[in-house]
Amino acid sequence: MEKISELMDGELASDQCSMHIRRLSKDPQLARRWDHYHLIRDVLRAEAGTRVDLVAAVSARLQAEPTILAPRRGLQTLIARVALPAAAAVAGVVVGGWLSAPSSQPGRADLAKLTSPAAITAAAPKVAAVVPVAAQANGQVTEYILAHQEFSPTSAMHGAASYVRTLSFKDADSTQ
Amino acid sequence: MRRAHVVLVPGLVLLQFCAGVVLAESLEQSDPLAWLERIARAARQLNYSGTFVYQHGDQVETSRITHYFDRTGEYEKLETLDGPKREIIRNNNEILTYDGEHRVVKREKRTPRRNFPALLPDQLASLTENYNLRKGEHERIAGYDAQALILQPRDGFRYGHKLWAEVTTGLLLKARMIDENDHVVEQFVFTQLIIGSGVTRDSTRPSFATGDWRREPAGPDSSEPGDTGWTVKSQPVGFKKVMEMKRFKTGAQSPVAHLVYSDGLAAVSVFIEPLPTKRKFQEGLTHQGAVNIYTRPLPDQLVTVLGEAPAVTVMQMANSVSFKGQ
Repeated sequence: MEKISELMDGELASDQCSMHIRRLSKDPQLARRWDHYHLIRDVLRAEAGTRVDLVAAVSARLQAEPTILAPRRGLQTLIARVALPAAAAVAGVVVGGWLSAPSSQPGRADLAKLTSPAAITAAAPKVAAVVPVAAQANGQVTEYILAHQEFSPTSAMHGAASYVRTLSFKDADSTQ
Repeated sequence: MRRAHVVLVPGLVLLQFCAGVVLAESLEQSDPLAWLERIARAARQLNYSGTFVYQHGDQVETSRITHYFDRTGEYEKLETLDGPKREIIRNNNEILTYDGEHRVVKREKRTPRRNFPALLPDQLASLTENYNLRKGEHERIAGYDAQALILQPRDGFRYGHKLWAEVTTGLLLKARMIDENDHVVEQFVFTQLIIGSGVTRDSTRPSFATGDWRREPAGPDSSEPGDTGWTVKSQPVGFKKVMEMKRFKTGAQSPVAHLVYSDGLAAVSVFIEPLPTKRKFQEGLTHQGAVNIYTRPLPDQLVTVLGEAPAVTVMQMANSVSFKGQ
C-alpha cells in the first residue's frame, strides 16, 4: 500500500517503478487501490469533475452493495431494497457538497460512503474530531466495552489497566 | 519493508541470500512472539500494585492498579486518583464498578475467562501476518529494566503498538498505541510499581462503604456461545471471527448478539440488539480512549461496533453487518 503511494508520488527508483507497475497489472485488488488513490488525490485537488462521473460511480457502487437483510418485527423477511435509491440520492447530494467545497474537510461518515476504507487510509485527510461518548449513552457503551475487553488480546496484555477507559472521567477530549 | 525489495530483485545469485533472510526473519520473530505470551501470562498470574499514567488525546490521568492471583483465581482493583473517585473491582467473573460521585455500584458478570486463553496459538500466527514484530531497545521504566517490542501494522486497518515488558517477569510496564501518522492514540505507563511480595488479597477490596448506595444489577446475566444469525460480510483484511455468542440481560426480551473479530492483537466487537425504544443512543462515530465506537441503527436493530482499531476498521465492519438467518 505504502509502495503504491510512493509510486504515485514518483518517489520510487525506476527499476522499482517497473516492478510495481507489473504487480499492479497482475493484481486487480492493487489496481483498484491505485484507482482509488488517484480518485482521492484528484478530489482533494478539486480535479474530479474533469476526470470521472463520481455520482454515477457512487450510485453504481451502492447498487452493487449487498442488500441488508435484517429481521424485522412482524415482517421477518422484508428486504430493505427501497432504501437504496434514496441512499444513492443522498450520496449524490453529499458528493455535490464535497466537490463544491474541496477545501472543507468531509466528515468520516460521508467519506466512508464514497470511498473504500483503503482509500481513506491512504489519503488520510485530517478528518473532523471524533465525538466523545455523551454521558447519557455512556452506560450501555461502557457495558459493551467491558464485554469486548474480555476477548481482546491487547486487553489481555494490558491487564486491568484496560478498565481505565471505562473509568476515565474526562470524556471531553476533542481530538485523537 | 526494505528487506522485501531485496527479495524481489531477480537473479539466481540472490536466491541463497534470500533464503538466509527468510530464516533470519523467522528466528527474529519467534523471540518477540514468546515475549507477547509472557506479557499476557504475567498480567494474569503475577501479584503487583502500582500507579500508572493513562494518556489519551490531550488528557492525562493517574490511576492505581492492584492485581492479586492465587489458587482461587484473579482479583483486581483499579482506582482513579484524579477527579471523582471511581473504582473497578474484579473478583474472577464478577466486575463491580463503584461511582463515588453518584454513589452507584454496578455489578456485571463476565464470561469465565478460563474458557478463552489470553492469546490463542492461531491468534499469534495471524498476528505475524498483520504486523511486523521486532524487539526494540532496553529502557528503564518505573525503576525496572524493560525490553521494548515494536508491532508495526502492515496496513492502515490497525494501530501500531509499542510495548515495554519488565525483563525478568514479563509484566507490561508501558504500552503505546500509534496511528498511521505516528501520533500516540493512547499510552499507559507505570510510574511506581511493586511486583510480588507485599500485594495481598485485601488490597483488591473496595475502599467505599456502600450501605446506602444505589445498586444496578444491569449487564448481561449470562451468555451462550453459538450462532446468532448475524455476520459481517466484508471485514478488513486480517480480521477473523474468534467468538460469537448471545448475551442475555435481565428484563430484556431478546438477547444481544455479540461477535468478536481479531487480527491477533486488536479486536473488534459487533453488538446487535433490538432498536431501543426507551434508552437514548448516540448515532455515528464516538470513542473512549483508543476504542473507536460506531453506532448504526438498522430498521429494527441497533448495531454497535467497537474496538481498539482505527475508525475506518470499525466503520467498515458496522456497514457490512448483515443477517444471514439462523
